[in-house]
Amino acid sequence: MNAETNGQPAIHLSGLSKRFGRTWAVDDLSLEVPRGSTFGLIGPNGAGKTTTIKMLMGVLRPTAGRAEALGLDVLEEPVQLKQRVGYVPESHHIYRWMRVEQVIGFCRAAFESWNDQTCQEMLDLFALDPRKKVKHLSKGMLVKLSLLVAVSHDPELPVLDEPMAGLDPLAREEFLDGVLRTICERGRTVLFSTHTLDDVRRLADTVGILYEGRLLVHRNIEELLAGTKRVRTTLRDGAAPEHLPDGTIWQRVEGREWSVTVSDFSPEKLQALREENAVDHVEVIDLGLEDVFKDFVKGKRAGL
Amino acid sequence: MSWLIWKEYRVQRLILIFGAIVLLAPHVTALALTLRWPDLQRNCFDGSLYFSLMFSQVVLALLGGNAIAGERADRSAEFLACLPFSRRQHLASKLIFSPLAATIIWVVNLSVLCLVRSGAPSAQHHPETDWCVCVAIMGLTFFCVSWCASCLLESGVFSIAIGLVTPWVIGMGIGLVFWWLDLSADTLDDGIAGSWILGIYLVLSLVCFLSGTAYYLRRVEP
Repeated sequence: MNAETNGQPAIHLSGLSKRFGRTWAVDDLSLEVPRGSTFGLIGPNGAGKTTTIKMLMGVLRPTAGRAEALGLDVLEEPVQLKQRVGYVPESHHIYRWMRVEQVIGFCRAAFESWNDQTCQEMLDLFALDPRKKVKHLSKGMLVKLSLLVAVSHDPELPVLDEPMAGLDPLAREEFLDGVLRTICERGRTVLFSTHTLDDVRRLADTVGILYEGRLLVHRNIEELLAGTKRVRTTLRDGAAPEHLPDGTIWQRVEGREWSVTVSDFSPEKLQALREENAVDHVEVIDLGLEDVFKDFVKGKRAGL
Repeated sequence: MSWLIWKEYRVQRLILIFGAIVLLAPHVTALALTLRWPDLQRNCFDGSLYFSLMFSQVVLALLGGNAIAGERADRSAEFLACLPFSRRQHLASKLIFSPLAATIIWVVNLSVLCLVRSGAPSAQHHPETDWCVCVAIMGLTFFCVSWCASCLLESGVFSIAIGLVTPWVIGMGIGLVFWWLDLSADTLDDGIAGSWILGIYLVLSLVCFLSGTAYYLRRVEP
């Protein structure tokens, strides 16, 4: 970390909110992503991931709050910010009449730190034909071109909004293992949103779960998985759950079977659950990221 | 910057081609007719000037209306917003072609006018001069109103339509005011009335252009 960065986080969102009509797409979102980390933003459809990323990229004005990236206010210094950030939007609207080589030339003119070698490597990796017009590219090829544009200037902060959507499994694998992993290993900060939790598990060190514009969780993945457990118990005849353990994020009762997912799980919490509820058999189950995500969202929907 | 200008040329290319056709076609037709019937030279070129300048108004409205809203409509503005070009650079590239097109239109048409009038006896007052000033200011208004609409809206078609319709609506409004105040050529000096009307159009153009530009520069969204 150099003196210039001075320990600042790569991304700093403070009370960020966005309202469309009467709906709050993002509601008082505060978040810090440290430099050098890989942050996976997940959430169900309509959770506010794309809106958050657009505000972070300075292409959508927040209703309230402030966004900073790499120490720059995104609304005050948008050009300097975009020079250092590589943004892959959710939908790709590159000029349809341009050829791939013209898109590259156009973007090379825009970015001061454009790296022809990286660009060529990406062209080869994705097997993109430079002479082909954008309107003749398939959806997957368009995604590849968008990724190429976003990472060929060696950005300090790639921000990728569902970057793998539309990629075939082979290209996805190559991009994940080849390009993104290289970027991550260079110590760059990466923020990406996705519905593919497998990608988050493989790449991210920190995860954020967004639901209805609010950040439910923002934690290191290993800590999150280590601390979130599902406790499956059998209720005694006629008994009902009486006291939910602290940190309960989801529960379900089916007949006599009571399942409860608890964050920051500890033996003390388990002991309390046993003492405060009429339960017989108790089983503690480790959860994968997908289950944790589902339980957080289902629990929130149920009002927990 | 040169890439932005090239991009802008490509985005506006169809309109520029249309502009070149409607600029030259009337004069070429007039020339062809003159070669066949030399006696009709004056009438032919009067007509071609009229058509060429009238169509140029439409071209200016097309250029203004399509400048920003056109890219919003096909969402290519979103791609552009991801790149580190400043709004001022965008603005400069977008404003290059309209004055250029207007200059070419006027240079061609005024050259034709001078050529046609060169053989005519000199007069104290040329009515064509007043007419040309009037058309020039109207052209400016068509461009500025459609430019303003383009800065505000997300549809190039609506922006162009607003640019083409608004000056006429305002003209009719002024006519109604004159009628309501019972002002006519008998009660008001024609020159003064004309100056007032052109003044209103000039102010309207200026207000539309500046407000649209200020909004575009301040807007965060593409």
